[in-house]
Amino acid sequence: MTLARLKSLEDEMKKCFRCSLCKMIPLPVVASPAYSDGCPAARRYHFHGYSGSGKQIMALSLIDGRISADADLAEIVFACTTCGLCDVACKFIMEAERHQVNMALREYLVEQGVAPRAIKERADRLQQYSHLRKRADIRSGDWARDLGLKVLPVDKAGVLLYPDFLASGAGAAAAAGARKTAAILRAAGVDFGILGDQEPDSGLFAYWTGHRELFTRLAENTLGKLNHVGVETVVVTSGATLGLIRSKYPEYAGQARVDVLHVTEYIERLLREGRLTLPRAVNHTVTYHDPCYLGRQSEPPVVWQGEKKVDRGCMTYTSPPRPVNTGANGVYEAPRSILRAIDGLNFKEMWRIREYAFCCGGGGGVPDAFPRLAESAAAHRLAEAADTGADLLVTACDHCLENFNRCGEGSGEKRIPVKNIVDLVYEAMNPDAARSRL
Amino acid sequence: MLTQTEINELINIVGASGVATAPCMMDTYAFYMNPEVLIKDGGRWAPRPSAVVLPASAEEVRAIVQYANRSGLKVKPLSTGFGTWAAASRDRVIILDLKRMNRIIEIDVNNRIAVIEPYVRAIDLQTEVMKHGLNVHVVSCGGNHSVLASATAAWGYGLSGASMGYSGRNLLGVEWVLPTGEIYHLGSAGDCGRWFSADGPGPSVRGVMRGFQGTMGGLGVFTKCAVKLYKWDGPDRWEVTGACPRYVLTEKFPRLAFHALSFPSGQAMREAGYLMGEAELEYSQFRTPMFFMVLGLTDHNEELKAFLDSGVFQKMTRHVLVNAVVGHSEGEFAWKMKALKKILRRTRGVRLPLNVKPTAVQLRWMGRLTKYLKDPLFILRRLPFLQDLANALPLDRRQDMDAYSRMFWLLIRHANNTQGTFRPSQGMFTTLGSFDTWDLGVTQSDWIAEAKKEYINKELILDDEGDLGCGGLFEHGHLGYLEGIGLYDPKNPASVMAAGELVEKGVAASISNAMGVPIAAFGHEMNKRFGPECHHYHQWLAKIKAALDPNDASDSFFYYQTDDNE
Repeated sequence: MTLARLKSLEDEMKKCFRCSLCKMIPLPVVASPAYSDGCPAARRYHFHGYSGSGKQIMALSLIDGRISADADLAEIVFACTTCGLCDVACKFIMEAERHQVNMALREYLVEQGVAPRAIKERADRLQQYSHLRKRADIRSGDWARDLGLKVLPVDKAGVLLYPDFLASGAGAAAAAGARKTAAILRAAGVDFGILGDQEPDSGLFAYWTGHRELFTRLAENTLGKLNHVGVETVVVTSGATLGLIRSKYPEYAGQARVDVLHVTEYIERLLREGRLTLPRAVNHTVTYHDPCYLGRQSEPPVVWQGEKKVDRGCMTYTSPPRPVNTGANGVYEAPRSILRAIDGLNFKEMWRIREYAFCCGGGGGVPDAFPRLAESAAAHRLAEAADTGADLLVTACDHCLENFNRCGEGSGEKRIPVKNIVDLVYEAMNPDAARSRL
Repeated sequence: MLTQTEINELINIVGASGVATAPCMMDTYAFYMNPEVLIKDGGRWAPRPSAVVLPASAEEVRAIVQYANRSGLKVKPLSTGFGTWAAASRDRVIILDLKRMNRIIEIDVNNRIAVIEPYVRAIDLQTEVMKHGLNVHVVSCGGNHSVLASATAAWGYGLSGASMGYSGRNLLGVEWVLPTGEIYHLGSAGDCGRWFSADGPGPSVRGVMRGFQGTMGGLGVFTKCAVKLYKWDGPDRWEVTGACPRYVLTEKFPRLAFHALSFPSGQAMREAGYLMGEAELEYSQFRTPMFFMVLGLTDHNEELKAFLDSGVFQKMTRHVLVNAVVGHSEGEFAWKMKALKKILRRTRGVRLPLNVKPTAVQLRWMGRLTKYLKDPLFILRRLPFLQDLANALPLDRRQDMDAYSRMFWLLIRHANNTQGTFRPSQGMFTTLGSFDTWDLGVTQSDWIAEAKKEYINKELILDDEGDLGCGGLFEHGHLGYLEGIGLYDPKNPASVMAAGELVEKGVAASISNAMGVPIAAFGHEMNKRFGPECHHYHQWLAKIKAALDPNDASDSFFYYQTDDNE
C-alpha cells in the first residue's frame, strides 16, 4: 500500500538534479551568509542524504531495488523535522513535491518496521491509548480544571477552544498558553467552550512520524468531534495543530466542516471588530518565529481538475495550470498584525521568515529520536533572533515553544527569551479584565 | 567496499560523524545532473563510492589523501556537487564532501580579494562582499555553486564575465593538497602568505594546477583559494516583496539598468556584442535564445506554450542579448547609456520594452497582426526615439518591477540561472561551448540548431524552435562562447539516450568543423580525441599526472586516466 504510494511519486523523485537549492532558502531572499541555510538536518549532518534532494534520491534507489528498507535508511530519513523548507526551496525553480516524497518514504519505512526505536515506542503508546500523555494521571482537560469553562457538547457555545493539549505534550507551556487564550476570549466576550477530558489527540505525532493508519484513525476521530460538537468555529492554540487540520486532514480524513482558525487569526479578527482592545504598553523589541505548520505547511491542499498534457516532444504541462502550494499562503499576517497592534513593541524581522523561515527543530518526532538535531536547530534559530537586536522571540506554536525552551539552554550560541504570542496579548490587555475573567 | 580497518582509519582522521558508508547514503553521491555525460546506457546511476568523508580542514584532507596513497584507495573531492563530474569512477573511491569547510576567511576590501574555503557558496560570498561595495564573478549555474570549485577546478564562465572575466582568471592564490598529500601554496600565498597573485614569484604553475577546463577533482584537493573582487556601485541591500516563486524588488536602483536587446540578425547581434565590448559598457551579459527568453517571462508551462504558439517571440527575440549596465557615477552611467543607444542605432538593435507583459489573448492577436511581417519591430529599429518612449511608458508598474526584478535575479544575483531552465522538462544537456571567440560561439549555436532537428522531429528532445546557444562575451569582447543546450525528459530513457547522442555529435563536430574544445571534453576518451588536435595536450596532462600523483590516488575520471594500452 505505502510502497505503491511511494512508486506513484517516482516522477517527482526523478525531477531532482541535485542542485542543492533544497538546502538553502530561495536565493533572491538571501540577505546574510550566516542565515542562508534552510534545512536543519543538512546543516547539522552535512551529508547530502539528509537534504531534501538526498531523500528523493534514496527513495528512487529504494524503488529501483538498489537499497533496502533498513535501519541505516531510517536513521537518515527520520532525522528530519518535516518542516517542508526543501519543498518551498525547490518550488522556487520547479513544480516538484518534495515533502510528499519525504512523507511517503517515512510511511513506507514505518510499514517495514524500521523506524527508530524512540519513535516506535512513542507511536506504540499513541496506538494503545490514542494520546501521548506522559503520565496516566494527566487528562486532556487538566489545563482548564479550575477555570469554570463550558464543556461541550453538554454545554452549548458558538466557539470551541481546542488546544490539542495531549498532542502538544501536556506541558506547562501548553497549559499556560491555553489558559491565557481562554482569558483573552473571555475578555472579548466570546461565547466559547472546550471538550475537557473528551478532547482528542489530533494525531500530530502520527503524521509527523509516518504512521499513516494511526494518523488516519486519530484524524477521523478528531474531525468527527470537531464537525459534530455544534460550533461554527474552532480555535486552535498550536500552530502545528492548525497546519495538521487545515493542510493534512483533507487527504487522510477529510475536510473540516467548521471554520478552523489559529488563535492569532481569531485574535486579529477580535481586534479588527473592536471586541478586544490592548491598552497596555508592552515594552520589548521583539522578533517573530514563523512556525512551519502555521506557515508554509498550513496551506490547504490543492484542488485541481484538469489534464496533464505533453507538448513540444517532452514539455509537460497542466491545463488549466495546477495551482501549486509554494508555502506562500500560510498564516503569516495575523501574528504580525497582532504584534503591530501592541503599544510599545518594536518589531524586527529575522532574515528567514514566512515561507522560508528556518525550523525550530521541534517537529517530525526529532526531539524524541534525534535530540541533538533538535537542539542544533533551536540554537541556530535563537542566534538569528538575537542577531536582530530583539530582546524577545515570539512564536505561536506550542511545539516551537517547547523545543526552544528545552534546547536553548547551554547551546553555546546566543540566547534570547522566548514567549508565546498570546502571552504578549494577555499582557497588553486591560489588567482588570484579564484578572477578573481568568 | 571498504574493510572495517579502512573505515576505522578514516574515522580516526575526521571522527565517526564524518564518515558514511551505508549504501543508501552512497547512492546520494551516485546521482547527478547530466547523467548522459557518464552513463551511456540511458540509466541514471553513476558508480557508487565506497565512503563519503567530511573533512573540516586542510590537515584532515591531507591525512585522508596520505592514507589513500598508502592503502590503494582513491579520493574525489566535491563541494556543492551539481554535475556528474563530481561522481566517483568506480568502487574504492572515497568522496571528500567539503561541506564543513565553508568559511569566508578574509575579505580584503582595499585590495579587493576574498580568501575562502571550498563550500563557500557564491550567493553567500556575494551577499557579504556587496556590503563593502564589491562583487564577485559567479558562474552561470547560479548562486548556489562553490566559488572555489569554479575558480580552481572546472570551467568558470558566468553572466558577469563581460566585466569580470571568468573564474579561473580571477584566481589569486590556492592552498592545494597535492595527490601525494603535501600541502602546497600556489603563487604569492606560498611566498609571503599574502594572496594577491596566483602566478608568482617565479614561474607560474596555475596552468599545471588548472589547465583549460580544470581538473575536475582529479589532481588533488583545493582547500582554500583567493579570488579577485570587483567594484560594485549598486545597492548593498534591498527590500523584497512577493512570495515563492516570484520575489519582487520594491524599488529600482540608481545607475543600474537592464535591457533585452533584440537584433534583426545574427550578424547584427555579433557586431553589437563586439561594439559593446569595446565600449566596456556592460556589467553583465547573457545571450538569451528565444525559448529561454519566453521561459523567463512566463510562470508556468501552459503560459509558455501559449506565448510560443502566438509566433510573436519567434520574430522578435530570435537574436537577443540581455545585459546590465552599471554606472559608477552619474556621468559614467549617462555615457554608457548614450554609447549603448548609438551602438543600437548602428546595428538596428531594439531595447525591448519590459514594462508590460502581454496576455496570451493579446499575444494571439499580435501573432495574427504580425503574421505577414518579417520583422514586427522594424518601426522601432528605424525610429529609435520610439524605444525611449516605449521604455518610459508607465504601462504597468507591477509588471515593470517584476521584469526589473527578474533581470536583477538573473544578471546580478544569479538566483535562477541554470536552475530556471529545468521547468519545461526537468532535464537539460549541453554540448559544444568552446571558450574562444564570440564569432565561434555564434557558429556553435547555429550548429546545435541544425543538429537538434532530427531529435526534435522524433520528439525525443524538446522542440525549442531555436538554437539555444547560451553564453555571451567575456572581458569586454575578448572572449566568448555559446553552449549548445537542449532539453530532454529525464524520465524517458530514450530521451536521455538522445541527449547523450547529441553530446557525442557535438564532440565529433567540434573536431570535424574546427569549433574548439567543447565544454564536455574532459576525461580519458576526450583527451585522446582532442589531444592530437590541440598540440597533444593530453601528453602534458599525462606527464603532470604522473609527476604529481605517482600512486594514482586522485580519482581522475574526468581529468586524465592512464591507459593500459599506451
